[in-house]
Amino acid sequence: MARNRAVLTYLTLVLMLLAASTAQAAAVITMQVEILAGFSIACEEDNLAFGTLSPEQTVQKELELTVWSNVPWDLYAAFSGTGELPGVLEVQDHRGVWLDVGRSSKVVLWGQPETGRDGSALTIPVRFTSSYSDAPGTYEFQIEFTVVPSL
Amino acid sequence: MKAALYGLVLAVLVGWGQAAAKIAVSPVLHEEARVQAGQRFAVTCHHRGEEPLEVEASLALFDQDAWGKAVFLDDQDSVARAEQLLSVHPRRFWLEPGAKEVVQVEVVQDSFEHLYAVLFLKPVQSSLQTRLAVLFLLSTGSGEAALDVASWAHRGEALTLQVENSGGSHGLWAGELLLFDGDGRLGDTMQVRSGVVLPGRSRGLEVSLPSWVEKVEIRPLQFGGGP
Repeated sequence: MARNRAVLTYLTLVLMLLAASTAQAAAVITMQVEILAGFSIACEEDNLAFGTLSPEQTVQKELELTVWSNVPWDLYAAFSGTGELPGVLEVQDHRGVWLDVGRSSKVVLWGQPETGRDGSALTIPVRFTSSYSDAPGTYEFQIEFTVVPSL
Repeated sequence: MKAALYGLVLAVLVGWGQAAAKIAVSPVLHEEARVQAGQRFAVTCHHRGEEPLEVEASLALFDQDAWGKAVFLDDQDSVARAEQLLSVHPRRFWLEPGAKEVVQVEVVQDSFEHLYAVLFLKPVQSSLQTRLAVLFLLSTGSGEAALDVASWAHRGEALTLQVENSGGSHGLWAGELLLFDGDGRLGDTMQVRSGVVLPGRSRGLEVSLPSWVEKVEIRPLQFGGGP
């Protein structure tokens, strides 16, 4: 009788362990997701006014940009427009070198790391130098920033 | 007085009174071997801003400079070449806030060995002109990269390497630096990767070394392969 009770207890324990392991296995669900490489850029400023300049005068301003990326990235800058750019428009790269963006696209930042959720807030120094080649008047022009994945 | 007459008003660098555009794209790099005509690649464009926005898609080619950075080839001939081999749909589209659009890039002709193209996605009504560049590294054959260190120089705490790709496809070089101290003892090792090197191109690498390093040996770990 006592032996039967011991066997019954043993079997009950085994069943409980099996049930517990089954319940645990049933609760584990394997999920899979593929996250693609992506990026985004934003600038909250509507415009950047250099103000009134005399010929051969240089004015420096700063542009605030934010880039979000989950892969290393580069940032390019170029004058964007159909007409001729008055004066010299320059953007400072991350080494502190001023780059003339009036003629061709220039790399301002390169090999930048992934930004994380909050993005990378950038302050890009921009300067303009007028010249005696520019007729008096009001000029409007645009600069274009391009985000590129680092190779 | 005369200065005032010559006064030059530089009023605007970016557009006036337009809402800030904020688009996100993914994936930002498509790398594919054995590409065939008719093959399509999808790029998702997501509007994260607050105002409806028009987006323009355009194609160009790219090359690589001596430091491995992409150089856009957006001259007339390069754009025509890209347009001859690839098509984009849609070219222009409107996005409501929070909306997404899938831009399809299709291989129209596979008469190339390798093609390095770029898809620009640009908000048309942006306060600031911004573009997002999606790179395509496509090849039709099974050509392999052949990467090697063409030259290197150790000066002070910097090591400069020039990695050259003489193969028929892009790839990256990976190697290990063995760092020896003044007594000739191996003090540490360091792994380095070149990043992508296009065929027929070379790219420079700069590695910062600890101050105690007197001698460096370079051991390649891997040749070929993509990024």
